[in-house]
Amino acid sequence: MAEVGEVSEGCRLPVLRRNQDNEDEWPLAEILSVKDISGRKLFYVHYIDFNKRLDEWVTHDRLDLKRVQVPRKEAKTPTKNGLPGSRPGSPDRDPNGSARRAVAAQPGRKRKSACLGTDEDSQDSSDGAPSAPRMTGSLVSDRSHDDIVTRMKNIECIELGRHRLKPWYFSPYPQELTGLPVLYLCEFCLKYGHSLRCLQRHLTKCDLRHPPGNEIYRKGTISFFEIDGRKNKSYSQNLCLLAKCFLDHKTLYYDTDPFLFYVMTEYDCKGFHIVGYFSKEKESTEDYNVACILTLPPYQRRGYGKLLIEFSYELSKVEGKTGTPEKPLSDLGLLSYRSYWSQTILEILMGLKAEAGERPQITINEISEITSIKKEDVISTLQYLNLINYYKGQYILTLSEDIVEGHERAMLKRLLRIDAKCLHFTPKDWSKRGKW
Amino acid sequence: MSKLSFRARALDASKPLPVFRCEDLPDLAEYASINRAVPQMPTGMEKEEESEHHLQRAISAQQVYGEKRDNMVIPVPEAESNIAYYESIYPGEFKMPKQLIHIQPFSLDAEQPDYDLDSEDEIFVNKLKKRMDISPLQFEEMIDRLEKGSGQQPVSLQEAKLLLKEDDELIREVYEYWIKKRKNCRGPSLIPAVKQEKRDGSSTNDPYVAFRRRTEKMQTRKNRKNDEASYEKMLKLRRDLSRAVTILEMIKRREKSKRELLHLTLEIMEKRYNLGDYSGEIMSEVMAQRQPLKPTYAIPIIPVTNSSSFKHQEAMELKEYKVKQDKPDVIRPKRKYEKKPKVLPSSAAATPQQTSPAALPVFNAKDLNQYDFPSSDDEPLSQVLSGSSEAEEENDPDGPFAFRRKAGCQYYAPHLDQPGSWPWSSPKEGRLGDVRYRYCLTTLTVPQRCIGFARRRVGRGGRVLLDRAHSDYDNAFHHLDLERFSSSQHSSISQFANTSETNTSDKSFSKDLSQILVNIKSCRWRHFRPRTPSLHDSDNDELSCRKLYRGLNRTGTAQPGTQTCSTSIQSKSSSGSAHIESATSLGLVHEILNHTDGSKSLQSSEFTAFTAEQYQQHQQQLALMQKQQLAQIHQQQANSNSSANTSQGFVSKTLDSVSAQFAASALVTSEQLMGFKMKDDVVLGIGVNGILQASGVYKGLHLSSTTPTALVHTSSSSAAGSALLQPSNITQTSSSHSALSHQVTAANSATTQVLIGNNIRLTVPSSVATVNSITTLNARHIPRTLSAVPSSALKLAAATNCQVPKVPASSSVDAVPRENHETEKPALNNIADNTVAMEVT
Repeated sequence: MAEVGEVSEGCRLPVLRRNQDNEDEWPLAEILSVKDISGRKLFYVHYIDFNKRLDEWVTHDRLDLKRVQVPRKEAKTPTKNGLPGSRPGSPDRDPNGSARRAVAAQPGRKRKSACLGTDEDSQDSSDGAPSAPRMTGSLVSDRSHDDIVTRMKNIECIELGRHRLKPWYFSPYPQELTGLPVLYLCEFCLKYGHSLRCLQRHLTKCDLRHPPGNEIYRKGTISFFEIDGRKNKSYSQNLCLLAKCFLDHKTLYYDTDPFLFYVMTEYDCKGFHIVGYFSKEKESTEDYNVACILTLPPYQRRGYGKLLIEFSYELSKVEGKTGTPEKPLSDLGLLSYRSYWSQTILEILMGLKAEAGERPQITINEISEITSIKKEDVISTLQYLNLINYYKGQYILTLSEDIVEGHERAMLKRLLRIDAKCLHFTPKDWSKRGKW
Repeated sequence: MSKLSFRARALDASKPLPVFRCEDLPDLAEYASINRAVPQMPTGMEKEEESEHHLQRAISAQQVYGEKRDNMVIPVPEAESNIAYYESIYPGEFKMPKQLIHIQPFSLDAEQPDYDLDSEDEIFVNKLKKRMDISPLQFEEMIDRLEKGSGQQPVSLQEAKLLLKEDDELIREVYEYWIKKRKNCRGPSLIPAVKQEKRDGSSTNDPYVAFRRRTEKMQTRKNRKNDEASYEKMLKLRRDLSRAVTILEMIKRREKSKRELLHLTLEIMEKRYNLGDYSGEIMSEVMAQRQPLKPTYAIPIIPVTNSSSFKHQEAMELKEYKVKQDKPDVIRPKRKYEKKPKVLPSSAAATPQQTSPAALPVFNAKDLNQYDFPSSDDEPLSQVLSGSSEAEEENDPDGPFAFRRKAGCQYYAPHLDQPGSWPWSSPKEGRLGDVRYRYCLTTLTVPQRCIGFARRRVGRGGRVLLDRAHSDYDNAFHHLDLERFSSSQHSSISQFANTSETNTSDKSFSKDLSQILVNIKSCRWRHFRPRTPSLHDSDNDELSCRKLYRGLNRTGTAQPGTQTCSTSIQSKSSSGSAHIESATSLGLVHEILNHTDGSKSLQSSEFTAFTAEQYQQHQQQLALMQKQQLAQIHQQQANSNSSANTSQGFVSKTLDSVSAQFAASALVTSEQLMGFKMKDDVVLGIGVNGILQASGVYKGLHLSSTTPTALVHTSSSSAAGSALLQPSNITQTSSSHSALSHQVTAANSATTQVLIGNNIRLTVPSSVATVNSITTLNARHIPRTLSAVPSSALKLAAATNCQVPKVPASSSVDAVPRENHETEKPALNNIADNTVAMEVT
């Protein structure tokens, strides 16, 4: 059994965690950081095979000190490894701790970068040499710039309007604000302050009651505002900082100029409160119609995410294009998109009517055109739903009873929908306006 | 099963897929295995994360149940949604507008301080409030300014006082508080802000640096040609804009000068009023005192004589001639300084004493040219000769009045050590040594006798003073036969002209009295005989007298002119005599022309003085006369045919005898004119000349419109342009005033006639003619009003580019002064210069 003092960065050990069903679990975790607050040691742990957003500071009594795996210092010289408890060179390069991870991750990254663009390959190969990331898109899959700082959450809590949010990931708010117990944000302009008094003072001066953009959609209490990342830098940056707290792969490396931000709000007597948003490149070379997309945690699991996605496809329909979200998707992103795609495609398939005694039929391209969902996403959804079957020399789509019932049930619960009639949107040709 | 080896076809996105319900296909299960042939699509997630426990659980739950179970969802950190004080801190109700919200651009930039007061500040402000008047917002504004005024280092108290508008005491209090707070602050500023990237690139990996600028260049179009064109357009735009800036700058300067002048005038008036100077006595006294302060630019009308320094030996004109010929370089700068400012203020330098607002040429043509008009006139040679003055233009305290070199001109250093510039000053001093003021044989009328060598000066009140000089031959002179001499003087002018070409080569002084007489007779020596003007014949006599002087004058001063014209070639004194010969011959041509064509005597009035500038004029006049004659011949073919022909013949003969160096230009012109006469065709070379002269006209008129001082002279000398150039001959012109004016008007009318006969646009020549004729009456106003007209005439002349307009163009030149080097420029550029000038003024 190791002493508490011997548990250092890079060590792996089971850590007590309470799951959704309020049961105690002891998943394996990695110590990312250790800090000492008034004699009491705190350990920042990442639960292996759990998402980073669940990483947290724990006290020593949650550590299973009996089963500590001490990291070996060098992967190349495993036999002459360092002493237990000695500090490893770099936690995220720890070969022992994340050996499985590294093996699993590296090829995956390579493959992804290959499909995302050739320029990323070179970045991967020149790993270690600092180079600026690519300038398009809003997400990074390349983690060569990751370090211990960005792997850890740096904001304890954010107060936004009547909500308090627990950030999931690192966000580059001004460093002097990171140690605060609560970071106070103005819910309309998203400006950050270090104290409630600051927020109060700010509110006497800030007269915004809605995102500072043009309202392009309103139905009921739901509105969408369009904000140009070049024209309204301050708001765009504040929004990005907030969003970064909940989007692991989002990068804030570059400015917001090439993006448009579509902020979804819900109106009440105090004003238009931000619910979520998605950003979109003014010009995408890869058919992306969404760069980052986020429903703020207080509004999650209530259909707003799907509403955002639906809205993004409505925009694409107006533009007459098909689109797809920028990759990589997060776990929640994948679930949400799959859900949206499934429902949208099933809606079409079930709506097909037989003509003149013949079987109803449809091409993948037709589905894509109707929905503005990119062809690849249509195919992957059909596959995921297991609809594509090869039957008697040709491909057919088959709708099982489970699928139909499940869909009908889900659609009953999906009450929030975008009404295309309420959309007042004219796409701009950004290529003619000069870049960004 | 054998079916497993069956390879399915690729999924074709454009191929219709029939949609079945599973219950309709009971045998589907048999075919199910083949589905694997369709390649699996990537999920779009990072592989590493795809395997995460909660996701996999959620996915499988969804696949199993068709929907997510509450306990199967992906867990996220909790959010709290009941902030008790929310209602209190977020102000009142906000009514939803009926219309969709549209934000007005820039409406977001409210002038509110970015700094938000915290509780610590509040305590301080509340404490301060007891002593001073300060509100939280004011405090925030102060901190905001201090923060934004500071870089890495906080501003000093002194700077803070500049930044803030509050009382010093308040500033000090807040400043001290701020400095203290800033020292304890964790961040770089009290207004928290996202870290900016550093310029040196060291912040590439700093995770707190965000929103870096995209340094990648904007992608330009692939079409290169297009790029170049637009690039050029941008350059042009930039040039145009900078021109506009220059012009505005000039206007600003002009207006400032105007205002200054007004203020000064006001001040002077006030001072005069205070002094009680109602009659202007003190004023004029002061002005008189001020006068010597600017001798270089002074117009030498004031009869202050400093010629007493003349020595007896130098009184001999012949010697003086020699000296003068040997030192042409000494003479020229004086001429420049005396004339330039008056002749061409618009292109070169403006003289300071032209303080009238209208006379202020507030721009410099070069300023405007520096951005555009890739001037064809900038010959490499001329640029070498006269260094570009662009460097000087910067930081010149004289502003628009600064002297600026003109490309293509040669400038000589001024002789600052030499006083005075009077016409009677010795050539040894680099002065003109005008013949009329040299010592010459003089014969008095009333006690009719020859008094030997004397010279005239203009004394007070316009009186003519005679300075006498002693010579060894005084006795001999006293015995000269005056009657014989006077008769010889009255003999034909052409005789004088014919013999004059030999006079300068006569260097030895004959001791024989008869030889003296012969010399006098043959006009080798000049002889002055003032006459009491009689009512009837005064005109003629004066004229003839004048002509005598004129001829001599010509021989004496022709050389500088010649040299100026052959710009690059500085011929030395060895060829001096040849020049004089040619000049004389030219003069001869004029005389002959005058006599053969009885209706015209214009030319005789032109050559009162020869200067560098006038040489060109002279030549053009020659050409002009011929042209006019030709035109007249054209008109009245039958009538004057014979006489014109003879005169033409004479001209060519005379020109043949002219020495090669000088004649080049003149001869060519005359030959071309001959050719013109025969073919009635356009000769390009002359065409260019004509336009050049036209530009000269414009300049001259422009000048006269802006310089009242010059105008005075114009009126007094009755539009004889040369008089304007040389104001020093004022006595002479005034005495011969009536005769001259008569001649000029005659000439003008003749010119106009020619013009009309040749079907030229009437506006141009007629306006010029009006200028000419009216100047004799009222020269002060008319040229100013007409100054705009010749510019259009210029354009016309340039546009038509035909032989005909050249006649009026050059004819108008006669009446106005002009600068020789200007005429050497190609026409288009001149016009460009002038049109720009017009736009500005």
